[in-house]
Amino acid sequence: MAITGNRIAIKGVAAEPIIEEILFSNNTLNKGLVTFEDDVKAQTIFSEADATATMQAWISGAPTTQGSLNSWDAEITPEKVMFYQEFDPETLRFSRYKRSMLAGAWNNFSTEFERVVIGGIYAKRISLSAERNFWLGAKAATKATIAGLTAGVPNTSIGAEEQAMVAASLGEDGQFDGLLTKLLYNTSRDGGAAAVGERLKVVGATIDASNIKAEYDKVYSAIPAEVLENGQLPTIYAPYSHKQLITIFNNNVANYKDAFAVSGDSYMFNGLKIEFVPFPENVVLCAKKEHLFWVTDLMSDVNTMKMDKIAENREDYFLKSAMSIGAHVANQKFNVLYVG
Amino acid sequence: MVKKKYVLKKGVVLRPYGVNSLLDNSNLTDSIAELMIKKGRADLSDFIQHKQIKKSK
Repeated sequence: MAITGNRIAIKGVAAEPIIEEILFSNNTLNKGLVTFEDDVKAQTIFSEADATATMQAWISGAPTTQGSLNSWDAEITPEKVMFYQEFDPETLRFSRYKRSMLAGAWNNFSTEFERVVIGGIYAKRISLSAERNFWLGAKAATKATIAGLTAGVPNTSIGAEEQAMVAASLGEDGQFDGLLTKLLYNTSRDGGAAAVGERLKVVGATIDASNIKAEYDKVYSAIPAEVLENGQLPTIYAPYSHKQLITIFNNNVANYKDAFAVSGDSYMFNGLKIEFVPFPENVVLCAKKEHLFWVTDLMSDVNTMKMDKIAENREDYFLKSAMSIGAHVANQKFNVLYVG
Repeated sequence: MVKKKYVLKKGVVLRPYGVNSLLDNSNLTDSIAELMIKKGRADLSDFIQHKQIKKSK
């Protein structure tokens, strides 16, 4: 892709800052909102186990075995993906960027362009793309499979709202199945058969500032009680817009303020931390961080980019970034997924 | 092939899950269309109405 956009031949002065587009931060990575499982080249086994214990009457003779002991594996291979662009720095020779090019006809590379556009905006875009695909990615084949399922009310069926949400919002670049897709349809079960995920389904509504507490109550009440009693508390993952809706809700003097506790940039609901991620509207997930996995070969691949001349006899450049990425959900039956 | 009951009018798209969501005639099924109408995220007027023509005997 060439460098696009009109640039004016610089004659006088250029205002110093280059106004960059405003982008979200990759909070999933920066704040560690999920569990990062790195050093996964291919085929890593995630194991889960459960058991049942059955009390039975004492007998002096030969006892009968009762209850069960179960351990099963899911094999996860992250998808290898890349970002690649080519550009010709010569197109910047008459623009503001010429001021940061070294003297000499051989030199047409602008350090200002490299710093602001490549190292700044483009690198940030790659990181955000990785985050968005992690949450929202879906292969076309998986989307088609989910669209073909018969929607129903039982937890074992795909919900009508879930089906609509997949059709309307999931996919992004379509290279792999992201976390929301994996919550709804996966092979992470005993035997490895593909089926609807075991997530706890909550049918939601259109969330606005007036009903946000009532809708979050639905999520909270669906959490299995043992999840709140054991270890790390679950996290509520919500769309960015909920930050504003919560503030508007709390600004209403008639509302009970302790439901959503806000302190600086920390948002809580009933004692559970809310984290804002690139979710579709009207979608809320409540899960322990240790149940959600970002699977990759090397975490720092997201921040690594190669830039060089395309060939020794050419003066145009390439930018290449490679990474492997995948999503995995563990302990599925303890994760609450609200879709309105 | 079964003819779809709900077809969006030309130029109409639905964004039921925010600005990054998109439903158009390529991914809109009849069941999703009915759900969107029920939830108030689409209106019957968004769809092409098929009029039933009664033939006189």
